[in-house]
Amino acid sequence: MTIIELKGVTKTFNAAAVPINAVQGVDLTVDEGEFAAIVGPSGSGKTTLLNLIGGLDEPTSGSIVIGGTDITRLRPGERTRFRLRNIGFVFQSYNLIPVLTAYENTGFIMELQGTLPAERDRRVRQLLDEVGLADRMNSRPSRLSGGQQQRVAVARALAPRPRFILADEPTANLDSHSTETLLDIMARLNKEENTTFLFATHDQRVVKKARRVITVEDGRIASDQRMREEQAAHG
Amino acid sequence: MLIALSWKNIWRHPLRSGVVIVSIALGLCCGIFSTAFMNGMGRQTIHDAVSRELANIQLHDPLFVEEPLPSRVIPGADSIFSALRAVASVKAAAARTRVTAMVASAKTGAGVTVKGIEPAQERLISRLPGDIVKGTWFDGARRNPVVIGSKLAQKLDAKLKTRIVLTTQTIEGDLTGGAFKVVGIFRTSNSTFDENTVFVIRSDLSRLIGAQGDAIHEIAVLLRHDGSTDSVAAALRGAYPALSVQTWKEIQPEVGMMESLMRQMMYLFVVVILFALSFGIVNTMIMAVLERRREFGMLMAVGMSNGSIFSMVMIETVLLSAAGGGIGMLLGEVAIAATAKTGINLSSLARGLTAMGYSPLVYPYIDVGFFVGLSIMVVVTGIAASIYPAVKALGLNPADAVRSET
Repeated sequence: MTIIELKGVTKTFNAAAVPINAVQGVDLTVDEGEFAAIVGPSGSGKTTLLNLIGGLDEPTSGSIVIGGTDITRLRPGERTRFRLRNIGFVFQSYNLIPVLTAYENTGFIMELQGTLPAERDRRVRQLLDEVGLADRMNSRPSRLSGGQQQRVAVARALAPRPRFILADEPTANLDSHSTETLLDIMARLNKEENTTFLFATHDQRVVKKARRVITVEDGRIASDQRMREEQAAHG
Repeated sequence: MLIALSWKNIWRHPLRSGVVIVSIALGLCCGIFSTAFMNGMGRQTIHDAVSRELANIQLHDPLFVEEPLPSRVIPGADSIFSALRAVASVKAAAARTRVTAMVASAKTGAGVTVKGIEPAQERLISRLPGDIVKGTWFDGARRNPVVIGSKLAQKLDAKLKTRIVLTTQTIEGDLTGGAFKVVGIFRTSNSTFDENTVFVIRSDLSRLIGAQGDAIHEIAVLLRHDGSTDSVAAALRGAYPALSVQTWKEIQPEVGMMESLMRQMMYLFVVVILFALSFGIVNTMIMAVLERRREFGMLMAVGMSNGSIFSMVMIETVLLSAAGGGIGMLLGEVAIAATAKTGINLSSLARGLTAMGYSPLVYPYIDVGFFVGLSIMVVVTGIAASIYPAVKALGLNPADAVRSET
């Protein structure tokens, strides 16, 4: 079932009066349960594409339909509410709230959604257990390693059960061991919860784990390869 | 959730927030204490005026209020006086003879108001007998004793037992005079009062002005509670429509105005302090927003509404202001409590203060209502100071902000 559908999406930035086409006429569909990576050199437009899919930016032209809703037609407030209900984000710099514990950070978006405390508590504990941080749930981000912080960020993104998760360079600040651990966790949760993951990355370790690799060059999709399950599993 | 998060956000930088809180606290503490000090001076002046000169209410012949001629006595004063003393809310009353006169000693002369009083009655209504610094309040005095203020005594070069001459008009309008012997000298916080007012026995003054019996020009009424002044005055106006019934505020409007002026000044003073402090708060909050750009970007990205982001910054600012305000009010109250009983002695400035009618001993005072008003002002300051930083936060682009360095 298709949950993301881009049709003729173009994004032009008018930097210093010289138009820059960051994304040019992109058509793309992503199905539920995919574990896909958008790759490409710096400046190729992969982050812009991710921002457009996440509703953080508006396309100059084209449509972006998420689960049947054309988000380009939503007003800013509606788009914010749509993101809250449908999209999970994992950022390169983790972006945890430093004054909250791992437990509070993980439950933060659910709290924004108004989820009942008992349900929230159950889900947060379950996810922190799954990402291997059950014993660190009362630690603040400053007491966690980079890998542990990113695992909390993944748990936070997954907690409200979004339709899909957008991860922008999630492993860029992590060492090899932390990257492996994080990717294993995300791959497992992708299978167990059937959550769709879409990465923008340079990291070959991520690319090797992905079951679909979309290559972007000069704002266009240059290639779109689907791997067999065993290929992705073995990298 | 927002309140808890905002409170935690304040303590990300304990030193920076602490400096802001301490500056608000000290600013408000000083403001509150200064206000209490000014308020105490004003209250003392009013209290002195009511307890020594005016009482709460005075009754006169309406013509006497226009021009205080000796002939303008209160008709039926004795029965009115008796009736007043029976009123439950009346603590005490005194009937006085009052004329303007020239007082002369061997050295010089001066214009004064002469009050003919019953010493025992006056003790019940006025604190003046307690202000005697030399001699007595007519104790054991024989014919024509007079009690004068220290300033007048100095001017006349009069001491105890000095004879002075009072020259005034009779009821018929003729000139009359009599020699009086100084038996007491008082000193109050109001040097003008000390210079312009002399007290004699009512019967002596009545005799001097040629009245049959005691001439009563003024009945002063002291009430049990200051707050009932207006209602009792209204009742008395109804009961004695032919008389002029005036409250102390009407007799000396400048003293009455002082009360409302002090209140306005108090708020104005604190508003100025809060206005100045608000710039520090705005500065701190702008720094807090700018150094959390990435975090605000994340909050926007994950779906926190603009309203919630605005509220979070606003609550943070209000909590910061309220913390400083609360501590400042507490410190201010402690400072007031520490000095309210003993007072602050400004003897070194006494001459200047008493010339303006202020007591050199000031008892700082602020009522609870002021703290309520102040709390509201602190919250309003916090809200006002939060608007610019909150708008700044909302102006961030989430896509850019999540990737920023801070």
